[in-house]
Amino acid sequence: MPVVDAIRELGFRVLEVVAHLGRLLLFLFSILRASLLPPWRPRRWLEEIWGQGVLSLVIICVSGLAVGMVLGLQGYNTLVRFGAEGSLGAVVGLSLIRELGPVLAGLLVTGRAGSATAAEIASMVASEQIDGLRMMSIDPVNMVVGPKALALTLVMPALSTLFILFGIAGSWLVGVGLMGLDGGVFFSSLNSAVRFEDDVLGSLLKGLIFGALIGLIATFRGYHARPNAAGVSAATTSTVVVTSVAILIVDYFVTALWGFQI
Amino acid sequence: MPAPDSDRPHVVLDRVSMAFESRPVLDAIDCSFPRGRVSVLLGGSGSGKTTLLRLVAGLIRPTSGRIEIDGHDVTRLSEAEMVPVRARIGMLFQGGALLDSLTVGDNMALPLRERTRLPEERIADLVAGRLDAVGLERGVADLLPGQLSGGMLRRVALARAILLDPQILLCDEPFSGLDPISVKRIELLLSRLNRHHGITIIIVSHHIASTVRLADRVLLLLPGRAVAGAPGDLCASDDREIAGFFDEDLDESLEPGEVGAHMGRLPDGGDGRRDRVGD
Repeated sequence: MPVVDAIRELGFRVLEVVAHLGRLLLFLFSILRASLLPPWRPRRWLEEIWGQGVLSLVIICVSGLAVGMVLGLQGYNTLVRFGAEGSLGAVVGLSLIRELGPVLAGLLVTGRAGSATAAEIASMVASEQIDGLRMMSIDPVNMVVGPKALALTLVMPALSTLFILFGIAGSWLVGVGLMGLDGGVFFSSLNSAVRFEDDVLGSLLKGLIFGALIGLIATFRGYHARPNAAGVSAATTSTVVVTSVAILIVDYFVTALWGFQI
Repeated sequence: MPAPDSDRPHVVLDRVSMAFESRPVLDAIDCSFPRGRVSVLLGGSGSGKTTLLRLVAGLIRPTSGRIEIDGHDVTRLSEAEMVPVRARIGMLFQGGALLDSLTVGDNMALPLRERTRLPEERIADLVAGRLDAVGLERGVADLLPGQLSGGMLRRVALARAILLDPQILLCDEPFSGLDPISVKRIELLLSRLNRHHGITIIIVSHHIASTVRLADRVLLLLPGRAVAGAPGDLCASDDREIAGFFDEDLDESLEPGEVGAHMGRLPDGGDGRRDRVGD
């Protein structure tokens, strides 16, 4: 009976997703436990924070500048029709701070540092380095996974902020430098529109949540990769796909919940 | 923990089955590995040799059955409970399992730094001593694993595996991909470790010639059954499947003229143990 088969298949898939989410949650708990309990590895944490930050720095700056320039150009051409070009700073600033900054930075960090993290851990699984640590009674979650997940969580707000700053600089270049808008008007509208406790804190919170998502999914996919080249490839690809979709979905809920709170 | 009984097998597998997802790999295997002897696991590709070794190491859990080490059931121990058990086990992984980002010296020092409170000078001495024991110079400690040849990498991994003086050494394909000189060198090291330190060694290998030279006991994993015995007995077995396994692989892995020297004419050391590599 095709209908029964389809329902059975659907049920099977749903159970699989639930089981997968359960494993992800357990993995999160194991990261938290391994990070909170000794041995603490502050040096490893700092190395990872430095490494993950540096890994994404260039693409964040370049992309932020490019996105800001496009926003500046599009925003100016639209606003000028209504004689509201003086609001360019506010429009670009709010767009970047509230949404585009954290989301685009999250997607870029996923593609760069998230995929690299998944590939590195999956390679360690494939080359039995993770098993080697276990045989030496060294917890791989404490030594390898935890510092990487923590680093991604902590660097994301910083990278998101950097993206926003370069974005504003890009729109200033186009609006003020190319289109002849007054620089004082640009920053005045930006300053009057952006509220720290609402927009900036919300933006930083989004960065933190997206960073935690990237760290969790990348390390989970890498750690549970099949121990071969195909497994490394699958872990890397699925990290980018799953994390990107997760960021976009979670963004809606964070925006809604943060908006209600304020 | 009571002192181990020397007559008792060091490792016992009691009706151990293992399946990955729904694919069975091992089916109700019964076997034991004697204390202080070299045992070799042989079998075709996919016969479950490496799986069996990983079960003994506690890296994976069996679907059913029981695994005993020193008479203690370790089948369902947690990672934390496995710590004292693993302290008595060293493992030589096929690819070495050295951390790419650390130098050889740091790789070897890692278990000492993590599991002991020894001062750095003592750790450096121990690392240099173990490197010397496997025939590597002190300068190798400053190299990264990627800068080593296959044979050197295997020897470094062996040096790390024996760093904490294990009672059991598990070796996964220690001879694969090595040139004949490196194979002999690894054989010699394993043989010395067994004879001089009484370490129980369990080796997974495809290399029949080394097996015949090195093993006290062979566990042959065939489809649907496992056969254990002295290598000479298995070579001379009437069972065509068993003897055929040795025939085919001996032809490929022994040097010309070496086949006749090993097949069924293994010298006995008097105590039931044959003369072996390095004697």
